[in-house]
Amino acid sequence: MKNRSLALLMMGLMLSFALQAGEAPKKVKSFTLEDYNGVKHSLADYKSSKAIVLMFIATQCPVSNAYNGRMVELQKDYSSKGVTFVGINANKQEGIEETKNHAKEHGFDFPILKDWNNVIADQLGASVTPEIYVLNSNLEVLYHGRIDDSQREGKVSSKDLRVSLDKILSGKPVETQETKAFGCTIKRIK
Amino acid sequence: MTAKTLLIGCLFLAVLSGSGCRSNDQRNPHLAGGTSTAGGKQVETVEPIDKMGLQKLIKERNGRILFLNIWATWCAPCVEEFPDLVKLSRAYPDQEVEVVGISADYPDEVESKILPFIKKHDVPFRILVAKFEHQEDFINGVNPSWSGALPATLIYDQHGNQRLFLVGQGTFERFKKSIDTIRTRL
Repeated sequence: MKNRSLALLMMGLMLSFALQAGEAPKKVKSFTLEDYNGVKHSLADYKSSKAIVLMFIATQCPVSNAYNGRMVELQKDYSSKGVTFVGINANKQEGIEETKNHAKEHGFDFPILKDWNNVIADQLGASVTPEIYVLNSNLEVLYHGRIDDSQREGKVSSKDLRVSLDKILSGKPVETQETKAFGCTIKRIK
Repeated sequence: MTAKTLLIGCLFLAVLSGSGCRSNDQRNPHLAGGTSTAGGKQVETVEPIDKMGLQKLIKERNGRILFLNIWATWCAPCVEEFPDLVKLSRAYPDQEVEVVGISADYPDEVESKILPFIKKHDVPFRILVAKFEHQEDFINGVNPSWSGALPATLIYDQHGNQRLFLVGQGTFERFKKSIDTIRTRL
């Protein structure tokens, strides 16, 4: 637990330092995971997208669930502009059927991949739900953090993910590349 | 790492170890909770705490160790951890170790969520609720290196120096060991 927490903290710090220092963005290794229907998805499949939005989400987390509607809206607004949305569930206690039913109940029109062994969560250093990583076609992280600054939709003052996507789509650099995601800790395997 | 990254890292560490501002604002909301130390009895009030209140809580130690736990009623590992916190608070005299929980629920959820939780778990230590304009201000106010993942536990010695920062669920034994290490160095 201690070593894992320290490793995650160090990964987060290194990513944070790299982004702040204006260094080359972190590159994500392509991966393949199955969705709740058993269909395999590889990051490499989405390389023609203008941006890939990886969303670590949960079925039981009230904070993640507060964003269900906003995730649906985001996908609706940006998929026609060439942005691909991919949900990732890395919580050990949330099974395939639960993930599938949750997606149907909330109208998710994007694949949700099950990261059973936390391989992808560990690679990226994701720690909470919801937590977002936006990648370009080279699988470089252009934005990492929250969807916006309040789980209460009426209190949102900074739509960070939308701002980042708008910048990427207009060919401009993302100004705020790192924000702090706030939510439920991802329940990892031991 | 480049020199620039190292410089940012050093600045970051300097912020971590630096002393915070002291507030003389006697109207600061956290002071209302300052005299509400539970002393072994179940708490009945939950006061808000803001940035200044948080800094004051950490720095004004009056010779006591501060055990600070950040939690929320919606956070499953926080809820699992809570019995250990209750046990911990009963293991030390109040004048030696001050146990404080700061809830990341909303201030308007005190009646509906926090107080029922306190009652259910028979919480004998002081509970505050974070009142910050932006959640990132709260996260950075607690610790700039914190990702925001809950629970988070910080232990400060009697001089207000941070001696432990643990993100994730801890145990009674883990926390007791940290506190006892600080106590033996008094």
